[in-house]
Amino acid sequence: MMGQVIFIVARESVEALLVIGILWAWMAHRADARSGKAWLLGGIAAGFALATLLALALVGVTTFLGAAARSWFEIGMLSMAAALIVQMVFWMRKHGRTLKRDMEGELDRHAGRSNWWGVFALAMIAVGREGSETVVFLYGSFLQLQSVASFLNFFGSAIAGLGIALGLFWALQVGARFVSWKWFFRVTEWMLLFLGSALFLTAMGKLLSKHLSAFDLPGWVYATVWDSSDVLSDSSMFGSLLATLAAYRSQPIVWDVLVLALYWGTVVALFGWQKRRCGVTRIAAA
Amino acid sequence: MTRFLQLKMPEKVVFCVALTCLAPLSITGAQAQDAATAGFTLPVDPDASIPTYKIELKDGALLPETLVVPAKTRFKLHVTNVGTKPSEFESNQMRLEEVLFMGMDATMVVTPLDTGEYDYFDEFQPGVMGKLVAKAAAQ
Repeated sequence: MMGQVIFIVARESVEALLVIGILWAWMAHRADARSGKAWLLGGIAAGFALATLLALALVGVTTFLGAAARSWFEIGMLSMAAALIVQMVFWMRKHGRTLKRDMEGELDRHAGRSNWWGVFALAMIAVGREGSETVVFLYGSFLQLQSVASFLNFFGSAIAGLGIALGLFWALQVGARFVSWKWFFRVTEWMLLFLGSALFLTAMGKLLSKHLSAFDLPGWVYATVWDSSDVLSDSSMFGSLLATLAAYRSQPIVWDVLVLALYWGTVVALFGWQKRRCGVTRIAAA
Repeated sequence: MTRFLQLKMPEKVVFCVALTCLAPLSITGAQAQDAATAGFTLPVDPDASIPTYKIELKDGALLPETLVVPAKTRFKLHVTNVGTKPSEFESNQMRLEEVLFMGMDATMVVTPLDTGEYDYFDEFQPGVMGKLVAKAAAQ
């Protein structure tokens, strides 16, 4: 029972702590790190509020939106988080590489401010979505407790689970310090982009099965593209972690592949455009 | 079929009328029998246009642990948490995820599946893996 509490809490917190850990480490490399961290912490706090609100609805205490509206809300949150991740990486590629010099202009400062809203929203969604599930799990398990001993054991386990996930956060901060910034950024931007693809795929999966299920889409949309569940099933421990963090699927259908192609196509097009434009500015500046 | 063509016209008419009258009865009977004999799980409501299958989650146990459904057909899963702990019904392969507090239930639509095996499980109480088998319906 308690091993299970540790495992579930750690597993549910990994996604949020990956996002927060990377954003936090990126902040440390900026001239305006202080205000950035404040926005991030604000987002985390707002995320806890959102998690509680969503959990109340899941438990059935409140009827926060109907079932259909709630799933639209969830699709919206997931898609927005994916979009924010792409936007964040895009922005960091432009500003993060040159680091401290470029926040001097007034215009840049303005751009920075709107980006902080992005940081805030991303942290809020990351904590709020998975957090709501953790709250439901902990609250439900909490109701089963009988004795003071089990009570203490339970809280200890929950904290241990969070501690394991915090280890990831810590590892990212250590990594940021000891690995060169160039490499750290290069690795973490890909981690975030993969996470974005996973969020977008989950969102579109919900769209397909909850809102498009009434329509008869052509049969090939539902056709299985490959089946690698014998090699690595996305129901296994490692497979499902990979599914959460990198959009791995062991039995994807054509829809899934199209969704991922759309995501990565957009990312490549966007960054290609950015690279060309930056190249042009550099020439113009020289 | 060839024997039918050899029949005379009035006999054909009688045969067809009889067939149309009996058809609804025989089809329902035959479907239920087919489902049972071909090893398919019986849906909760055999007459519905979209069949619904029932799954109960009970403190880590999945009831049933195996479901056999026709491939390439849309269907619904009605999942109820009858246990004393919260659960999260999940299947990456069928694109399902639903947190269910004690006593709560949810109906999920599963999009048409190719023949194959698909996992489902309770993410909050891992250990038991349910298996949904999508099988081509016998012609």
